Amino acid sequence: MSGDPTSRMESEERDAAPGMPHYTRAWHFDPYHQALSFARRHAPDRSHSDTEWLLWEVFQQSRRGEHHAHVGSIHAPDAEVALVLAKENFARRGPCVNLWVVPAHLIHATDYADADVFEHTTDKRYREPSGYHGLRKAMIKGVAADRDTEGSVERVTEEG
Amino acid sequence: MNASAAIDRHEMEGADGVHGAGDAVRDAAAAVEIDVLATSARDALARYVLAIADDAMLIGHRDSEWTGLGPILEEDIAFSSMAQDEIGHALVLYGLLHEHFGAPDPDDQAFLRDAPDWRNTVLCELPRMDYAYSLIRRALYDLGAAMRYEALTASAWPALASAATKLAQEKKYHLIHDRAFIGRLGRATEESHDRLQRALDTTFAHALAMWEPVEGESELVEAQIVPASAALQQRWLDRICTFLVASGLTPPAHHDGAADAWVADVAPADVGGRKGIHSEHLVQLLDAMQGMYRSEPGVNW
Repeated sequence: MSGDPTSRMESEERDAAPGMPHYTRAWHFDPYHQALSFARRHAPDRSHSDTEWLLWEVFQQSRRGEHHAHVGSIHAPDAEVALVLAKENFARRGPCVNLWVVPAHLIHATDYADADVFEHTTDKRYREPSGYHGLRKAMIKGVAADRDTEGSVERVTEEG
Repeated sequence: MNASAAIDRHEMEGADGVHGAGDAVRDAAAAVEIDVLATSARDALARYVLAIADDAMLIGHRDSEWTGLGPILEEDIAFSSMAQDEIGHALVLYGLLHEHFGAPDPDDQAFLRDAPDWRNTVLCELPRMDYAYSLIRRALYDLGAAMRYEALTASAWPALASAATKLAQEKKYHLIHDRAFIGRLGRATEESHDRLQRALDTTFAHALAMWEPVEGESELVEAQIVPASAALQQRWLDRICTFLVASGLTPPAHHDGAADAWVADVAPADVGGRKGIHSEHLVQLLDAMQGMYRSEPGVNW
């Protein structure tokens, strides 16, 4: 590829001062070509076990008192580095006062094959907070709540 | 190990925070507005602010060259984000010059000046080389800048003190980051240690030159507007050497037991950046950094 600085860099690398890191003299700034040639020279067979870091799940708290919410996952060798990296990877924009990191392998999960256990096949509206609409008002004022709203749950509570 | 305790406590800050009690310009200096200063002091102050703004701008640009090439994805993002922090710091400081000294606006400061008009220390303009070099350079610069900003929070010029408070706060994370990586890589493998050590040997002399004072600094020190660079350099040297040794590295310096102080074994290299004397690398950097802006003046993107 014309304009690829790789060949030029390699000839000039030999002239670099001893002890100096490579590709210093051969400075030729071109982000696109730089990235390509760098990748070509360093990509093959770079998998080592010491680069296979633990996976951590990251939880972020936006304000004190709020619950921590899962925001993503990162690789890191230990908890401190995980916290350091989580800060810039997840908390650099939105509000954050606290981060948790948890090794992903310590999280246990249900199986999607069992997802049917979460389904509601019968009417469960009586178990929802909206089923109690008007209760607080009725207790405070000591008057019967509007009998046209919400039905049985309200009446049962008032009578009991 | 308790990770949250570890992130709170880092040697680079020292037991008493980023700066010792003596680092501050002086406690509660009476506020000085710049229009009461003599012309020579005003000029020196503009030079000082430009120097530290240029440091931040150029290390920010150099480190942004790692975007997409970082050693691992997560560190690529963290390193790039810190590089952006530096450009943000430069923006704050160029803004001070624009507002109070009638200097060009920050974009023009960054994108229209030629190499001889830059006042950064040469350390910040050198090529990024390998990741070990960029990481060590960051650590040397970050601690220096953090201590300088911390001292400037007590500046007699309120606008500078206020700006420095914001910048010092953002430096805290940079120190945590540097400690986390250098503290591990310094002892991880022979290769990681040797790469960091080689980078340290290469860059330490350039880092010492970071403390080259701007012309007229003594007048500003006298007016309690800026800290004395020589005193700050000694405190920086003590702290950075302690940190490097704790990380398994050998700084080119020795500890003088009698004085309980670190003494550099190398002279500052390429001093002169504060006077506009730069390496050819700055010309190449500016070609890349300013090309777009200069090709289309006033362009928005």
